[in-house]
Amino acid sequence: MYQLTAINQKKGGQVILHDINLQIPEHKILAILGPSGSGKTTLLNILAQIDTPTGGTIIDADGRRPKGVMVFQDYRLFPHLTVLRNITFGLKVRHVNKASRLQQADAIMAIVGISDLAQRYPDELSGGQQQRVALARALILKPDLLLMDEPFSSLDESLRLEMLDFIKQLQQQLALTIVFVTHYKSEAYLLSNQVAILINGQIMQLATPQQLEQRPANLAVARFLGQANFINGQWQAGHLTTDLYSGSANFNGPNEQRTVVLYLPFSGALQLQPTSYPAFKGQVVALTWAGAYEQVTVQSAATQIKLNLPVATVQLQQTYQFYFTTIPVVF
Amino acid sequence: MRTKPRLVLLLLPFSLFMALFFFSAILKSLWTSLGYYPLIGLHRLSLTYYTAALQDTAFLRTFMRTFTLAFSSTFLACLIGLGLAFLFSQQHNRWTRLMFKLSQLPVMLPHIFVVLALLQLLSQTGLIPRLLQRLGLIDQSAQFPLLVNDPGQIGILLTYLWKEVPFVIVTVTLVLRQIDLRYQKVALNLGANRWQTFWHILLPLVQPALFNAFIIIFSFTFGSYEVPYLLGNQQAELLPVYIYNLYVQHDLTQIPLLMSLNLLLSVFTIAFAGLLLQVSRWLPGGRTGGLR
Repeated sequence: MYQLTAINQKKGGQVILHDINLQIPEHKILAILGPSGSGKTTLLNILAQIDTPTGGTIIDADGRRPKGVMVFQDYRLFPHLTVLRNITFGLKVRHVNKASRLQQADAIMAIVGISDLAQRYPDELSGGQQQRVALARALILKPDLLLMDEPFSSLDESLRLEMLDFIKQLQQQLALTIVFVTHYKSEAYLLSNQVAILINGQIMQLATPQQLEQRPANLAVARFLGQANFINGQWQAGHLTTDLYSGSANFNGPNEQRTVVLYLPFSGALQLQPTSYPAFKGQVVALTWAGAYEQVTVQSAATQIKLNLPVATVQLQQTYQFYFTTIPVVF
Repeated sequence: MRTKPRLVLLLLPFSLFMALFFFSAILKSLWTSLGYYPLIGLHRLSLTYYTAALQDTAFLRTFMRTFTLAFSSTFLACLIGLGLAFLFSQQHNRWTRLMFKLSQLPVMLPHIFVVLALLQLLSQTGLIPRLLQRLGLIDQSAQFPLLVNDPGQIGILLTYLWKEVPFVIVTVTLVLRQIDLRYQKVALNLGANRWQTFWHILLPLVQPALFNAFIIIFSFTFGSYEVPYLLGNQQAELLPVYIYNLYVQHDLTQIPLLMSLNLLLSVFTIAFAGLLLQVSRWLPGGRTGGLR
């Protein structure tokens, strides 16, 4: 377990990171997910000790600062060095002798699957190969934290899935602790065990992907995650009033207020099977097949909402009674 | 293809110009240096003038002197320019930005401007010795060290440095700007200290540009005429001045020898540049041409 305590970063009077408290579990993959400009890369640079925070500490269980090695978004392989020399650079500057350098490089290149590229130069490699070299260059140093900055954004779709699988497998094989930043929800969900949401330099929530979707900590997180309907309403004495639905709800805002927002994610919030939380009657006005589910637009009074329902649950133009799967959340 | 004749047509003016003024001049020099000079009745081709030149100790001494000065001034310019370029790129503040702007100025000014400025300032009747005399720091202007037309060629060296250091700064800075701090951060994160980052990463990345600057400056200073003519010492003549002096004697029998000297100078400069390029390619950083 690595503990980040009260990490602050200010640059030119601007607060980039505000009081980051975060636990990084060992031998797991943690995603830092957030919109661009939220401070993700700054936080990663601090973990990599490329950047020094204006305040705060990062320690492991023994109170030592963990060593984080970075795989950059653009890989940044040294263009004048061969793959082998790129990989052994970190050992060379630590004055590890040549025989040991070569031996360790052979081992790591075999694991990463680039043994046949040793004598190539970076400009002779494809994007995926470059990423593997960058991985090997970091892994050979046996870092406490393997840090990856937007690791998949420079790869095309098919390669992205391949590398995602590969990194997952590598993590299990070597019991790595990986921290990676991304602004793609799907990448964070596919790769990580835990996701930390960073918005405006603050950690808003640390949870599993499923917990995030079902119970976002606040409206900012919910809005960032998207894929949900946000319906304005009034809140008074534990009672919600909106055009769509009126009744009980779970208030999840920072403090009691009158104007609230009802949060209805596209998936998993509503169903046709009766529960103890009847929602509203609505007519299906549009239906789009999206493979695993159908995208359904439901009209109720003046309000339109979008839902992802299992294929063939509803029919166009029909009116249905919808039920909340569980008590709805307002912010 | 329709484009091919068009391309030939477009290149024609340049080709004609090169053929007329460049290649014909070189060929003429070559014939003459080989002893074909009908004007004074010489018709037989031979290498006599080359062997004579290479056995002429005065020529060889001048050659070595010129080479040493050109090489050392170029080397110093590269060293100082490299240091300053790194300083400017690492320290980003108002001063270094201003210094970089100022350093670009000499690149645009002609050598002759610097020569005249140095003569005005540093010759024993120049501004600075007179000022020092007025201030009572020296008794008479002759006490001021001889910095122009001196046997140590200090005036020439100063002129070259004043002009070429900025050239190196600009060349290296352009490369450093391209790589900004990207590779430095990587090296730092992989555990390298500042010196290791400079030696293993940054220097190899600027090396090809530095060698290019070296070749350009060396070729220029080795063949430059006006600076040594005005600031040089008559007892320690430099090669271009030596050749020019031979030429202005208007001794037609000397012309073939003169042309052979001229060609030796040119061939040496080209060969030396080729050698430097090979060295650059062989050194770390030469493989990719630095950056792509």
